[in-house]
Amino acid sequence: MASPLEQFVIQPVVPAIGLTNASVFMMASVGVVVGGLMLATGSRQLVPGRVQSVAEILHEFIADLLRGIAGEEAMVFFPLVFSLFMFIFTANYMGLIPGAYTVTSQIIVTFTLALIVMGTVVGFGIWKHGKHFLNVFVPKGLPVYLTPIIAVIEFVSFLSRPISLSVRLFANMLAGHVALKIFGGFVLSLSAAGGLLALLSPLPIVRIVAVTALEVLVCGLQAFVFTVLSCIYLNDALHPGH
Amino acid sequence: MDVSEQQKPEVPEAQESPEDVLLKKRLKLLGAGISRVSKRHSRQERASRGAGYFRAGDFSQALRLPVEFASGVLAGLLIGWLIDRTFATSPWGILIFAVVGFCTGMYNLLRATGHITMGRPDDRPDRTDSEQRD
Repeated sequence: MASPLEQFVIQPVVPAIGLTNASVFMMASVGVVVGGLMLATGSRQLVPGRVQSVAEILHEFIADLLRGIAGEEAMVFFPLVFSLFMFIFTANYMGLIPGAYTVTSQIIVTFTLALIVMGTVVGFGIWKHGKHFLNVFVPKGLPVYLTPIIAVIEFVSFLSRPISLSVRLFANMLAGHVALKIFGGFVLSLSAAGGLLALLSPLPIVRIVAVTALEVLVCGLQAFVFTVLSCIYLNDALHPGH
Repeated sequence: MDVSEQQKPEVPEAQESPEDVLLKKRLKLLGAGISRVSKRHSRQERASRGAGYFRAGDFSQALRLPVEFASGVLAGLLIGWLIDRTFATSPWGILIFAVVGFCTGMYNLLRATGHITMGRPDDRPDRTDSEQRD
């Protein structure tokens, strides 16, 4: 029987240019985002139609989130945050299509996304605040004798952010898809067992439906959590330590 | 008949009749009762709505916290390993930074649940429990 991890194997599609199924689906999700938004904003009516209002809702949602967490001046990061959200959101949901490849179940993809965020935080923070950016490691109002200890912990904590950001998304997507495959395997092995056990074989299908519903929730939630945390970290770049 | 009843109270406007006093008392009681009931209703409504909204929030929190802790330990181990490799201090770097990483994991948890708020003015009061991420 096929291994539940077989769905994550990267296979070359066009080996000559190094095109794999993962890169195909990455490009596809970028294509869906760009194409969908171009379609939605193509007519640009004052009273939006259905497609246009979906695009406007998405835009407003992320803009409000970023403004609420990091303030009005954080809107310089809006293109980054919006692109991140749309890419992860689309890639997650495209992965739910049977037979599709889940790009965000590869840790290298999510870690790259997390590094883009943290690189922006560090780069922008140093460019904007210079040496003052190091205040991000020293919380305000800390007793002097605690400062060296907390500064070390804050430093490690800062380094742990890209790890937690990427591992969370990757692990959730991986676990969900593995669970689906395992329950699918149960149907096969139960019906192969024959006799009374074969009668039980529809039961895992019920479970698959439930897990799929959970996955639909998790896909959206993880894209949202990634975006929220990116906003919080970008807030550090704007206001280090305060 | 309506007219006569409406005109009646206009005459003793100056002093309140005992009926008026009673009526006012009853009105006050009724008002208190209504506000009590409506308060309870809104509380119930908030609770039932919370069940829908906050479950998503709690759920995302639950998905977040274990990773928050583990990433602290992982980052500590990574730093320790790098120190050992560059300065040939094995095993001390990884030993010390495993402990530091554990502390960081705890610190991350406390911050993710809103127990440490970094002393930022924009971090505390206007946030509800479900929003206290980091």
